Amino acid sequence: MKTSPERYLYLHAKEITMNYLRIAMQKGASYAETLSTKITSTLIESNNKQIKELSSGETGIYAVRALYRGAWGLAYSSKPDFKGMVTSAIRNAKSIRQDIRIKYAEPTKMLIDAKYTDNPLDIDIEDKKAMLLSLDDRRRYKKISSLTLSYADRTAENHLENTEGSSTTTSSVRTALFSTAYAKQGSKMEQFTSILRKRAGYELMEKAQQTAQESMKKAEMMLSAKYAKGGTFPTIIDQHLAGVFAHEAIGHACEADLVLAGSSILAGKIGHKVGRETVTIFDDGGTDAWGHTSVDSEGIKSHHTVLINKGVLQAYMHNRETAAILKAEPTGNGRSQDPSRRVIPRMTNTAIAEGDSSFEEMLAEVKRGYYLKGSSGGQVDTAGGDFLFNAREGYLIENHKIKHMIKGVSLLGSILEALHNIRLAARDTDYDTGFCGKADQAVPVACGAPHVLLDNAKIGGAR
Amino acid sequence: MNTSYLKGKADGFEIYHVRAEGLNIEVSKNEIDFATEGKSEAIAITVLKDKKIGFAFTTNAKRFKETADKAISTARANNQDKDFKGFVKPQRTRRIKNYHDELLSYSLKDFKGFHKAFMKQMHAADRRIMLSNAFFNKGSNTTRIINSEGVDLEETTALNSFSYEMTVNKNGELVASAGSKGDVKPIDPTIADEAARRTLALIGKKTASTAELPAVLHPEALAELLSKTLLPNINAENVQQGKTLFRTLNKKILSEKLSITDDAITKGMIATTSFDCEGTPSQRNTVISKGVLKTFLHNNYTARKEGKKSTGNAARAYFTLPAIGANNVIMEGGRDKEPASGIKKGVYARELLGVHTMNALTGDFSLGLLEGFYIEDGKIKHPIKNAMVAGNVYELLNNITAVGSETKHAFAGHGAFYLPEIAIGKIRLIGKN
Repeated sequence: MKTSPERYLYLHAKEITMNYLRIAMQKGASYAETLSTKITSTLIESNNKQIKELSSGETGIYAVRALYRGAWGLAYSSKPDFKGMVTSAIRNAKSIRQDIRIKYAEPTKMLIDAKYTDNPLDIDIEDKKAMLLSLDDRRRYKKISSLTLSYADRTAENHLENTEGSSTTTSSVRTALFSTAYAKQGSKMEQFTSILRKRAGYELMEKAQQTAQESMKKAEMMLSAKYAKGGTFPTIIDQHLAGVFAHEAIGHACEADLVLAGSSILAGKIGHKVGRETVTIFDDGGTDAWGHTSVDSEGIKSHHTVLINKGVLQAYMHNRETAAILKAEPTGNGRSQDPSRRVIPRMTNTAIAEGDSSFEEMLAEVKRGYYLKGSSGGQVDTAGGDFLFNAREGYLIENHKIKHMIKGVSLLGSILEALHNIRLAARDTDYDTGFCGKADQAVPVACGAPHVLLDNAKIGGAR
Repeated sequence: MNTSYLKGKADGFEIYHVRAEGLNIEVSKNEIDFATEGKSEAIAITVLKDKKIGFAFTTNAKRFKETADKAISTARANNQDKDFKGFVKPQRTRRIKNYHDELLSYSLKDFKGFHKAFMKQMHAADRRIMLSNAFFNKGSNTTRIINSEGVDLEETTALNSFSYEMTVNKNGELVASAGSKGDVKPIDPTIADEAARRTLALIGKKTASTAELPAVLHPEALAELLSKTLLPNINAENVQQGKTLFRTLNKKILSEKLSITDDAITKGMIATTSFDCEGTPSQRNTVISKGVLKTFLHNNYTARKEGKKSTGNAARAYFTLPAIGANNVIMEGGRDKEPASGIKKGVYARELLGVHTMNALTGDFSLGLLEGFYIEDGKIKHPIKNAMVAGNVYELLNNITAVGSETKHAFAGHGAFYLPEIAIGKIRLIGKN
């Protein structure tokens, strides 16, 4: 999308919040920001060819954040009452005694337009409805007892201005389809959810039929899947699961706020060897994936941050505040769910670098073990060091061959051992899409990796 | 809001108007380091036009008319819904004022007092414990529901919650424990004592061997499991859509030792209100009586589709149509003072890792044992490290050996569980091989 003269005018008009930033400075703030987010969204949900919800909405959130005598104050509203918010933000900061310093940055002037071919806002809601209903085609899958399909699009525009003179506007369009199929055979029932989502427009729905069919196919396959045997096995994990592995095993423990709070097992371990020499892990907001953050929630441009370089812990991920304390540069990881929330270090697109192996070579290494695919999420205890993540589907490997499907497979790992367990990495990187939850804030992130072979994976079978 | 604007245009309507105020305070490394406050408002409009439902929302109250028009245009684009039998009719509603007034005026200054007392209690247990991070939230909502049947109800609710993580580093072992508390009156700082003891109890973790063992579930672990599996399986919308394990009422689905009610009327409990999100008066529902399923949870749509009355379980955010959610979920206490007492060798599960990854339909789980202990001769022996527990929630809940006599509030899942400890016959513990 090109930037039209109207959009330049619009941006210029937005700089009117500069007046409120001046007021904040006059009141004694050493740094202040005005933030606004406007979201337009559509949601359509069907179940068994009946429309359950057809909705359209608009959400606006405005905020002022100010650093006053070493303390942060934030105020938000669903109305753009910046004057009132400056007063409340400074009042909040005044009641707190702290000596927070932040890393300052060069002013950024940035206008990032959303990436799409077909603007979802230009498509009639009736056409979206018809598309969604057409996806419920069960001719090939007779055991499907229920199918829920959800289509969502979301157009967001985020605007930030700060007392450094930065003014950034970033627009994004995200489109998604969720398909959850329920398969039934006698008294047995299983479900499988397939997700199609991207920073893209309505053109993404060209792949919608494939996603819906996949969910039905996998739900039926689950009916005859067996339970995995719990224990420790060599295990091949696919790109999406390996990505979550990097996110849970290393990513969270490298978030500088957790390091500073004393709740990361990786605190004080910069320069230490934490994995095999073949392992490199990085975070990059500039990667064209779901967690793309060209500029973070406090006006810092995206960085390529190498967290683990050839097995050695290299860096943490920062916001302005943690960068100042740890005498590092901000890494563009200061993110908030929306302007009403605190900016904390968060991952963007986190990935394991490619190795020189291949899936076939990995299979040749495994006599008896598992092949696990897709992620249904994970969780980590960054202090204790345990992390758990769950595979969407799994297969038994016997005599180097992929055998029957297994279900209910989780893996438990420990942060300090995990990267020593990566024996091989392939050359076939792919990124998954997800939302990461921390401090009750959800932000979009991507986890990427090639196929990875783990030496000793602790598998929990459901029975 | 000019509701008469809708009268000529739609055949029926429902307006959900919510005004919210919030105060959020954060603590990092023992110190208060962040505060934010704010206000928000949202209007959600549902309309019925030619037997079609339309829905639109906005956070800009000045755009009522545009949003109403949007709702009507989405209705035009929709298909007819023959299962929709009309909006909620006005009913006699008993008013319950559930929150304490001091909560409305609760400020950052009040929190400072709470924080000081909390820290004192925590450090009385052990000077080395650190409150590594904590989040306080106070929120009040004023909700108004107006519909074309004549419902016009308004209610203010208020709640405060405090969630925290404590860490302690003893002899090179770093342990953390997280907890949370919610209340309709200002939270009592004496919760710090139990939280500190809970953290200290995690020191000295040992690995365990893989085995099938009897287990005791703490109310928090039990709440997480129920929230993820039982609740979606008794949701009438899921039942009607064929997405649940349970289809018929009056069947035994859990051990006869278990009885569960869904309650929205008991004062002082988190989820108590005068009416639900559609204006149906609050009530108490027996969901499971001695293991037998007595009702599914309904809103107006699902109930009237079957010719029944709503159970008062409409739940929603402003950006969606009313869905179904549980109110206060209460499990009846049993006779056992110490459910662990009969266990010779077993596991005590206090908190699980990765609960959101379990299979919500079948109840299969394999999770990390985040806070777990080894039981020997009825007593807690030592904390366990690097272990998993696996099983099936329904098999567990059909194999109950003891039910604790004391019911505790667990601020897990949707926040409103009141549950005893339960002992179960068998769980699979995956430790070192």
